[in-house]
Amino acid sequence: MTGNIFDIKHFAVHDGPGIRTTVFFKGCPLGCVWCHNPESISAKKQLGFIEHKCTSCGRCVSVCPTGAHVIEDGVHKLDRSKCTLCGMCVTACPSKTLSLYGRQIEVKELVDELLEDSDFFESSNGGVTLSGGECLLQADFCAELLKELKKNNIHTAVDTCGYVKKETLDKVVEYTDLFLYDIKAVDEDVHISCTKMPNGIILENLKYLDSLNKKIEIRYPYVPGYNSDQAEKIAELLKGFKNICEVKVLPYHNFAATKYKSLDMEDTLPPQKPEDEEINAVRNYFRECGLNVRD
Amino acid sequence: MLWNQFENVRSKLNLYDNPNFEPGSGIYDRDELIDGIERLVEEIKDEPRPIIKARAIEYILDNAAIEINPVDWFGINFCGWLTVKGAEKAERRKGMRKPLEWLNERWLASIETTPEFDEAAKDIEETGAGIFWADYDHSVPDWDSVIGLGFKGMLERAHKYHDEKIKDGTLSEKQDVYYKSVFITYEAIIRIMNRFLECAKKHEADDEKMPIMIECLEVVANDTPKTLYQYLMMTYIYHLFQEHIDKIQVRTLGNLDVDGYLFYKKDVEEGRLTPENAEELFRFFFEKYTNQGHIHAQPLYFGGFDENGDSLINELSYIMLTGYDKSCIVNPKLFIKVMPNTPDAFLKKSLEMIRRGRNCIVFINEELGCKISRKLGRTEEETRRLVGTGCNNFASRGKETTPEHMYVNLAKGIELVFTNGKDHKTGAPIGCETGDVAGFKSFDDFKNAYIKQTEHLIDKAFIISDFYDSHLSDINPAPMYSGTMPDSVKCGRDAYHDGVTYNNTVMFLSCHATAADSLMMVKKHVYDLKTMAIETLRDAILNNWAGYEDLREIMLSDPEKFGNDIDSVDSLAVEMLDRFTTKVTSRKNMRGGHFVVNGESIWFSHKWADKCGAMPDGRARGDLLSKNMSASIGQDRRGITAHIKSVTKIDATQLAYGCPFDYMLHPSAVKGADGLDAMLGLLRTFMKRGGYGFQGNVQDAATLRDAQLHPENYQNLQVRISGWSWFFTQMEKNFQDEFIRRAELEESAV
Repeated sequence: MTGNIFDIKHFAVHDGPGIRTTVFFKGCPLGCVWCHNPESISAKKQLGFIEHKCTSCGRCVSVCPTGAHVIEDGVHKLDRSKCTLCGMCVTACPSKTLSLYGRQIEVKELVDELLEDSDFFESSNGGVTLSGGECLLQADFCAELLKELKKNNIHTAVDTCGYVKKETLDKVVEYTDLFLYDIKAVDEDVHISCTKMPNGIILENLKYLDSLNKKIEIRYPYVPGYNSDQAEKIAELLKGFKNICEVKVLPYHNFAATKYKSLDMEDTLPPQKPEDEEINAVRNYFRECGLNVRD
Repeated sequence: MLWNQFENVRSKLNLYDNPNFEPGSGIYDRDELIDGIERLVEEIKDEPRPIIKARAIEYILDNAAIEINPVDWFGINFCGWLTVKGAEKAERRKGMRKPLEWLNERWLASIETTPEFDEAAKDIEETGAGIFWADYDHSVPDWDSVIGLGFKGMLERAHKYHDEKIKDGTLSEKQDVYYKSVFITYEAIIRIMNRFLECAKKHEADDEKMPIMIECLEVVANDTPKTLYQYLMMTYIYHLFQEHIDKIQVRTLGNLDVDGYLFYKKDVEEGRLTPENAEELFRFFFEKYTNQGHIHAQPLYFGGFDENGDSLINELSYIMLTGYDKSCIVNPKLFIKVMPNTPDAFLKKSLEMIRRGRNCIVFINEELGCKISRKLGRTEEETRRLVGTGCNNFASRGKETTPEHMYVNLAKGIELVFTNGKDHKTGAPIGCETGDVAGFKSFDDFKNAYIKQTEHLIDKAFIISDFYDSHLSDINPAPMYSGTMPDSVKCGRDAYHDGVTYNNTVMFLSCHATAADSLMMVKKHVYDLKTMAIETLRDAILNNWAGYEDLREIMLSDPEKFGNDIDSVDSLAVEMLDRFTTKVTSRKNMRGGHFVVNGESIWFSHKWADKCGAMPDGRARGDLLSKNMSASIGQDRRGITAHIKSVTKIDATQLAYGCPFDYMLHPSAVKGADGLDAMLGLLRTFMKRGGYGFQGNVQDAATLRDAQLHPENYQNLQVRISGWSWFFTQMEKNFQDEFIRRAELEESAV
């Protein structure tokens, strides 16, 4: 069985406890306007091209079998309609201007790479996190992967938006030590305007995981002017749960603008980043509501 | 007011730059003092050198003007190297000589070199193949003797052994001279201590702390310390004398938290001190070293373990760290021994400081240190009480003199293979003939030529080190330092001759990653993939890649480099280091000890950059060589975990005298409580995997760039250079650029 991933990040520090290695899966059912991993949204392979890093060395031109790359007047141009996503240009590119997002990987190959970091996990009470995109769009693969990791006593976390069927959750629940669960909004209209999708299923799934006594870390991406009015409602919602071990308020940032451009995707990023004081106030509010919040 | 004064009086503590000598207390003009020593040396020139040295020390101690600064708990000063008149700034002090430096230089020049030495040393430094000197900078006095016996006790001990030898008729003339030099030195120390005491008494009314200082000086002059303050005063004063008069650097101020703890505990129990007072006392103490401005800084070390294996980190360790943090200084530098049971809380406190830029801290693997110690034949007791010394190495407590005369550049051998043994820039024949590289049919041919070139440089380093080792005690007899060393006073031989138990000599083997990457690129692109012919690569290298930019790009962008947990190249690094360290450590030195190895490159990776030609790893002349045990700059592309895995494949027990790993982390990668936990996890994993020393920077490029443009806003910004830290804004631009580049690379990986 193969999975469709676009990155493996070693020394991931903010994706669960301790030092973690995070696997990023491709494809997501939501369309969050603030998404900072635009390469994760589509399940298809994509070629990234960061124009300002290009030195116009022309190596891509010489290896491209379809003529998608041309250098005209010293300027590198990419014709995406001709690109077959073979990745030869990426291998040839010395300046990391080109990147191919999306590759198929076998469970065993992935497990072998993840286990290389075992001693870092052990020293820091860390482990492996599956993220994305939405990793549970590939739930069968994730279940196999998590099962192998548990066989090797590795702590596992699944970072999910929760917009999946209950049966999908069932596939991974047994092998997941911690769910990193996004709550973007409680009000459905706000959720739809921010993510293009309703949140009923997300809230139901949260209840379901709680009923199974699974450890859950809630993640609230805080985006001024979009879902920043949801803090009180989220705090209220969480009061009813007994397995929320921690709440993280994730301040929105717009570092991903270059990535949108490199993928030739429409940049939907909101312009305004929150101030530190604003984030701290929200964190403190959650604390006052009896929730465990780490900076 | 006795306490809460530090911040108020801090500006008045730098006596070295602003002396205010007691009128009539002696010679206050440094040049006049040196003239006096010169006259004396001329008068007694026929005496044996140890006596001349001791008399010169005595002259300074008896004649130098002295000073007591009543606002300073450690307000002791005398006219000497550290003393600069009036408006002269610390800048000027850099070039000033210590009072006895000229004497050492004269004696060094008087030693006739051998033709072998001349041949070996010729062009080594000019070509960046290595660097060498007669080293007196890496010894540690026996602090147990200094603190436990005091000056009088050490003098009495020397007399006891001298008398015994007279009694049993075994005293040789040379031993007699040695003992007399120790007597002269320590008698003079006691006299100057009593001068300080009398001077302090004159100022009894000047500050509330003076009665305590007077009592302290009385004890330091004639007895042994009984309180934490007296312990620190003894340490400070002994250090001043040895380092600035005997001209033997004191390479650690000691295990202050552990040795000071009993004094501290008693002080607190008896109501003399509170934890807050102790913190302030340490801030005064640290300030003395800060004001001395020693760029490599004075080390002190924390931790250790007791007979039961329990960690010795204690309340005082935390107090010292807090005081150090508040002072925002880089000197002294902190060396933390780490065992699996070193408390997480202490390590996290230190890591949190590093994350905020207070990074003059290195963590050293004590478990590994113990393993090395046993391998070197030290006893279990010696192993348990290892001294943390210098930038990041271990030594036997009170039983070891280990000079470091020579650095060998492991990358230079690569250049010499392409030039058949001649330095490419100057044509100097520093290598050996290994034939025309065009004739090498296989990678093994190339590798064997590299080994031959490097071993040729190591053989030269043996000759140079042997020469210095044979003459150390003639060039600079060390009566003060020797007087502390129990073995030395017992046998009556200078501690720099062969008077101690462990008389090893360190050889540095530096820049291994540049060498390993270059070997890998030759193997892969010339012999395996045949991307280019060896002749083409040779032409590219000899032209510093001009006209071969495409080839350079291939070599630079190839990810198969040391630091990425890739076995092919890591194993080359391991194989080469294993081979060279085995060669070095198998050899005996000239003082009855062995050669041992240190893998640091410190700043020579920078200083040799222009002297080393292009390398097959894509490096051009002028680009940095790899630093310490770390990957070549920018080549650690798979992140810090892979980097650590590569580094810890190397057997650090073979690099017994230090092989630190330097990290650069982006602040966003280690922010918050999670980030601190992760830093601790990295440190623990590094240690568990057998890594030696862990040091580095948590910086973002934007801050460093802004600091370069607006230094006035970043006066306290520290960066870890190698075995020490320094203020970023005070560094040369090309050094600053190196840090900015590393931070940028880290940023792109986040």
